[in-house]
Amino acid sequence: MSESVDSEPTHEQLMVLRRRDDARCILIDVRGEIDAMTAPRLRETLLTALDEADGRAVILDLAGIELLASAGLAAIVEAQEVSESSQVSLRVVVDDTNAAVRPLQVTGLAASLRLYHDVADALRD
Amino acid sequence: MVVPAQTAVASVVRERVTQWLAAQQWPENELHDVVMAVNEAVANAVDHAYAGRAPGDVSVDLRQVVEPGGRRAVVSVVDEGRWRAPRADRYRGHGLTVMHGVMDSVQIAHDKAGTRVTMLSALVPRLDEATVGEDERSAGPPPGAPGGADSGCEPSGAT
Repeated sequence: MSESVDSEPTHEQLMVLRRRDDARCILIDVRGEIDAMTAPRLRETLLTALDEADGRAVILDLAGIELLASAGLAAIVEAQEVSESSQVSLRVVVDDTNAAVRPLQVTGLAASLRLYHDVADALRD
Repeated sequence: MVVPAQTAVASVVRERVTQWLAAQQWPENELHDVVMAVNEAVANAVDHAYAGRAPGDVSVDLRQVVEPGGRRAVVSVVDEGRWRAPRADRYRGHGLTVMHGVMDSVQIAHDKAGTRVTMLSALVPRLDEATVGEDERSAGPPPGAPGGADSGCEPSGAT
């Protein structure tokens, strides 16, 4: 896989985004905190990936995050809606204990997303 | 603690709340719930209370209360802005849903002076009584932290 480093390092302490492309998928790996400050960058990255998917799945890996605030939830919901209308498969990786599961569950969004336990799991589907 | 109502300060507030709760030996999952709720309340104040005006301040107070069955964190987030009803969009809807979902109670009071969000966390086990004491009280700074014992409700002994 080739790797492109995020183009906006300003808030890198708070959230690090990495996008890796291969023939089967676009993997977006998120580390750190997704809040009102950083969510616009996640949104932009997700929408760009969906636009460039060209038949590939887009995998959002949240297993390394420490916070998922409402601004991040909104970005994911928007990406989910775009993925449905553009018929791109958007898959979200979480693990049982991480900071993503709780907000997805209490808002009911877990039910409307395609959730996986790890990237390998998401790729098998 | 009092911080300017700016998006960037939310991470500072989260850090302080995390430190304070960790010093009270708050259980990890419940600690994260409180941090999430405080973050949403602060984001709410930043986004709506001051929209279109010069940013004011947001005050965040955190203390614990001890009950017979355990301890709770009590958080208030106060701004001096004009309350605006949550917009009917996905963004703010999720913020309030998160707050209600991770705390035992959320009360929002608003008047001309501003908006006060008061939240009560889930009950967590008490520490042994030598550490906590029996009566409801405000928690001081973490043991060994500088800043004196009488800093009241401020996280991390802030002034």
